[in-house]
Amino acid sequence: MPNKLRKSDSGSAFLEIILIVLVVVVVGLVAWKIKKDHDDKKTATIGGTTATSSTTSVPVTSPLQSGTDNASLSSDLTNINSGLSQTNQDGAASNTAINDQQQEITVPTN
Amino acid sequence: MQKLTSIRRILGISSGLLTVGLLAIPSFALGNPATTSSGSGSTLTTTEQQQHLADIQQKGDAEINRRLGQLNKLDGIIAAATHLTPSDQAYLTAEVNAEVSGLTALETKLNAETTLSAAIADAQNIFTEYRVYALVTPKVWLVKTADDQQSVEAKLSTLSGKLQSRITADQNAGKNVTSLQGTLNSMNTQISDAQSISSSVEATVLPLQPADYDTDHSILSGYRSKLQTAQSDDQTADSDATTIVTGLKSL
Repeated sequence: MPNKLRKSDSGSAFLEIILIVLVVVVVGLVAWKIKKDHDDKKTATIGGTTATSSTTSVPVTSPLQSGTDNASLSSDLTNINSGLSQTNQDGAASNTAINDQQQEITVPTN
Repeated sequence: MQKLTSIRRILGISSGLLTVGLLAIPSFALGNPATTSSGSGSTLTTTEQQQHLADIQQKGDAEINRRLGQLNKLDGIIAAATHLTPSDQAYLTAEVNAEVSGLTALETKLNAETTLSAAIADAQNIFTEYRVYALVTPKVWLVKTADDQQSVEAKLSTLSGKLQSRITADQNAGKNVTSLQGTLNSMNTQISDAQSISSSVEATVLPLQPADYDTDHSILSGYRSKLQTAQSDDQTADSDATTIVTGLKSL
């Protein structure tokens, strides 16, 4: 029965697989570590502040301050226009009230 | 003889006119609060004095009730105002309530008067002590307008800060923001001018009292036009902001 492995041979094969997996994992970790160190070296210190260079040539844009995106700005404008409309109405009412001052001295006596 | 008859006729007409004029004095005094009169009614009979007293009380009640209705409207406007600062709201509400209680007490006093002169004095106080139409009503509206304008100006100022942040960010990204920055500077000037006017008008008008109006009837003149200038500044600032937002979107 030449194709039938003995029990001890079966155990050796299992160990061999484990070793191969371990070697692959170790090699992978070493490669990852080397790449990470390489990337870190690209970090330069300029004028006391640390600037991280990008791996691509796309210019860095600082993130927008909260509430300054286009939608928020448009919403603010709408809100302000609503307030202006209110002040227009107030102004008209003020005009009416000032014109109504004459009611103070108009008193029927007969 | 004919000349003597003419003289007698003229004297008769003159004395008739004088009598009518004297009878009209008490009513005239009520009709024009600026006119001061003792209102003694010494030339009137007792019946006529009682009739005039009743007239003044009736018309005084009507004027007081007209003012109480107006003050109730003002109270509702102040309570419903969404932009009035709490301190201004409290101040105006207290003033309106004081006018209501004062006029209500005056109505009771007027109706209890038994002499014509006292009733005329009470009727004159409806105007000189309270100035509901001449001062309080326009004052409430002017203060509300100034307050609402300041609310808009605060929002414009906040928006200006956001716009500056965006313009600076775009400038750092290498974009040309020269025109937008110029418009923003103009907007800031408009806001500052408007804020100065609105706050000044509010601070000046709020403490005015009926006695101030009695001293100077033109005391409110000019404030409305000042607020219109501030309103115009606000609208220009709003227009600038719209231009900037549109420009930022296209960068």
